[in-house]
Amino acid sequence: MSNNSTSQSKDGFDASGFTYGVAFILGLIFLLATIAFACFRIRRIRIPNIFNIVAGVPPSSQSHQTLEHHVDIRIDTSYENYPKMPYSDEVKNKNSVVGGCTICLGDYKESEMLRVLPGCGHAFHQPCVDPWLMLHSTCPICRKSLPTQAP
Amino acid sequence: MTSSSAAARKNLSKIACNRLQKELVEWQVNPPTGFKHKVTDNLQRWVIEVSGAPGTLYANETYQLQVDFPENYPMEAPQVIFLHPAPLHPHIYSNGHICLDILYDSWSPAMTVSSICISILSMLSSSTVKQRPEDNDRYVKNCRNGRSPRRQGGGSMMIKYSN
Repeated sequence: MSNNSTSQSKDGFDASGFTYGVAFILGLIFLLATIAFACFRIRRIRIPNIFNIVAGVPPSSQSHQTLEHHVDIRIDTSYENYPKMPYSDEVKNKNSVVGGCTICLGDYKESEMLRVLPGCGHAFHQPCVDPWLMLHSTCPICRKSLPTQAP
Repeated sequence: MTSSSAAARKNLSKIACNRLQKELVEWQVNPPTGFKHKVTDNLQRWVIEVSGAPGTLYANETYQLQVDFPENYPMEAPQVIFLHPAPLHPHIYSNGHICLDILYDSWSPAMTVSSICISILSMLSSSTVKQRPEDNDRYVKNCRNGRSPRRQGGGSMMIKYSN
């Protein structure tokens, strides 16, 4: 036994060193591959859909897409039934329509479509106020609560 | 901090640009009393000088407000903070954050920079003591990323100035 080991240590030193070296390198490669794979998986979990990023969809809209099922109670479409009318001489004489749109700060022009809020009667350009009403059920001017759909 | 503030600063939409240009013109014609805005090329960030109203604790003092507008202004409120040094006030943290409901949940798209300025001056003028909010140290410590009080959960002492 001792004879065997001494003979190996004498002329087999290179061979056993080589074996250990190969085993060490293989182990190292395996370890690095595992780490790289783990990193890749973690990144994929953080970025749910790489195609959205490629297509230029902003992250905020991605989260809206995923949250839509949970927050659809807040997105109320009852504002679509609120009265709207084109701006005209007749509308001009109403008190609530005096001045311009307080959202874009622009004056009303002939035939522009206005949205008149029920209750307070405050008017705005329809394209200005609709994005607000989609997420809020209050008048931007007086904060009066607006009728919403029954749950 | 730089990355989070850079991510928050998306370019203004066309609607936001048009609206801000109108506000700027209106400001130049009729600025709110006690405020000075040095017009620059940057429409998205306004730096406004505030002078304390005479007869109040802040008389003869000037402070600077920084107003950053979001991409979809006026559907979202601008971020308004005091630049260093922020006035000593029970609703203003030492990092310049302001506890004022109209800057967060009570924002409305019919408000303007002018109306915000008037609310802030009114908040300053109504103060009876010059002191920091009670939770100032804890808040500022937890607030290294430069975010607004709303996102930091600092709304418990939010002052109500909306009508």
